[in-house]
Amino acid sequence: MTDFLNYLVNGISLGGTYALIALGFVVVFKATEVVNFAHGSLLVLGGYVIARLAGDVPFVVAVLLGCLVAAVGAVLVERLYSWRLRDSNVNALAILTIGIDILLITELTRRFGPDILPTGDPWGNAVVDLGIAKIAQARLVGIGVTAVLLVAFFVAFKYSSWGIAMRAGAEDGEAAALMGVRRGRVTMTAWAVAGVLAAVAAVFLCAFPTPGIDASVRQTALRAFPAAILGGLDSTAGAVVGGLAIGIAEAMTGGYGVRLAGGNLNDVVPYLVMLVVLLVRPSGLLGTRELTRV
Amino acid sequence: MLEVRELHVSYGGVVRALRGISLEVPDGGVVAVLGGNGAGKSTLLRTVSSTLRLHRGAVVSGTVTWDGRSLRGLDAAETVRRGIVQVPEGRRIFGRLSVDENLKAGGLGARDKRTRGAARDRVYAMFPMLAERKGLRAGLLSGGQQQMLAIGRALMAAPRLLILDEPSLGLAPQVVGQVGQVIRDINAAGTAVLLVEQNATMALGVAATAYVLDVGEVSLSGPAAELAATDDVQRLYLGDGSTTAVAVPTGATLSRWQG
Repeated sequence: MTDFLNYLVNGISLGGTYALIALGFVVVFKATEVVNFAHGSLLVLGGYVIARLAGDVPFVVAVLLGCLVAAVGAVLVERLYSWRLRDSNVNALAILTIGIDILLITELTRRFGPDILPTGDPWGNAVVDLGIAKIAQARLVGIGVTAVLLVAFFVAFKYSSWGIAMRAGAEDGEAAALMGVRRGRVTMTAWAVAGVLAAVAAVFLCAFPTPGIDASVRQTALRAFPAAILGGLDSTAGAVVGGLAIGIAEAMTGGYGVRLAGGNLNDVVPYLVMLVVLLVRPSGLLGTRELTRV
Repeated sequence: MLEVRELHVSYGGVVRALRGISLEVPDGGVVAVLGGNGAGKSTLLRTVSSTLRLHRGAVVSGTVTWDGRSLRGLDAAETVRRGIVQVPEGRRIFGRLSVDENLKAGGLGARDKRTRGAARDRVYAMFPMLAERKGLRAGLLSGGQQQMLAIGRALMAAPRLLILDEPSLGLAPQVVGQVGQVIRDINAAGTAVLLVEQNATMALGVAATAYVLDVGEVSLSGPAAELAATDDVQRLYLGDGSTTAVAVPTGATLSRWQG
């Protein structure tokens, strides 16, 4: 039972981080209908900046700068295609993001070299005993920060002008344009938000017990992709549900050491969960797009 | 004043949708544009509201000016900020947003907060039915209510020219009459209206001036009352007396264009 609770709490912490990343996918998809495959490298970019600055500046400043760089990077990707390719097919744009992803991760891999850089977070390897379960302090903080960010996001999404413009544009782009919604600004903000969320996620993805950040974190980050899909690619709430589901499934299978076909099941469980969910609900748990088009 | 001069528009450089159209909407006036499917009505509106690019269309030649300034090359949002707002065909309200959020979305094109607040009060006063359903998902409104919401949403940006693309489409005759009355009220408050319709009865009842489009060209134009009396319009758009009687709920309107 203790094991179970331990795995559950850790799963929630991991799932929260996945939720932040998945939310970035979803926000960008809602704003532009583009699946952003460069999201994983943008996360590594933010994490790289934070790790490089660690020690030179206070941790909070490093994180803020990391968020800024990731946001600017994301906006640059958006500017790149809306500059000349705005009317292109969204699938072509998605493939373009794969190209950007490869370029960016190649450069980052070169910069990391063989090193695994610590993010310089102040929590170190401290472990907190919650009574029912033990959890690394960094992960506990991660849950808190994630919760605050998610609430802030959903409040903004529900009530702010940006949120209303986002949702209106996602539902009917032309009608929104006719109402005077500035699509470009809404889209740029969406990409910037995705970048910030990714950089914050990088901090907690690479905190203790993970030794630090290197370019391979991108693969871990891409596990949030099945989270976004299974939640419904156009559903913000779905991203959170999907992230938690994947995080908990991964922590459980990893914790109990479940093996499949000679490997650890936790490496593939995000994709397995996604497949099962999609078989039952083709548009994801909370996705609406396909349903409303019928 | 909106002025369209010798406008030619094509899609993909191949399909010529407009072939030299000229028309004017004076400040505070109501102008109707009639025409069947494929006459170029929607293309004309897309050009004015700068959404032509979304449909891969482009202006070949001609001018569109608003208060003497060209509207060509603007994006749709900028056109709204200059005071031209279009209610799209088929209403196109945001069905997953609440009624109030739909109005907020309409207000995003307003120049400042105060305009927005005043516009919202005005819209709710004009359509008390919407005020009663503020929190309701707009997709759950009836067709007539959705049309009122679409008009209210457009008014949120406090336009000086309101464009309506087939507002009577798919509505019951009684509701069409209400839409006609709403257009008169909006115009009485000083907003110019450009009304595009297949339902000529309602349009000619509301408008002072009318244009008839035929395959991308203006085939007839003049005062609405005179136009309604011509044989061509009678035959093509008004049909016989029995259908007009059904479509026009107010007696006053009937007498104006039959006399």
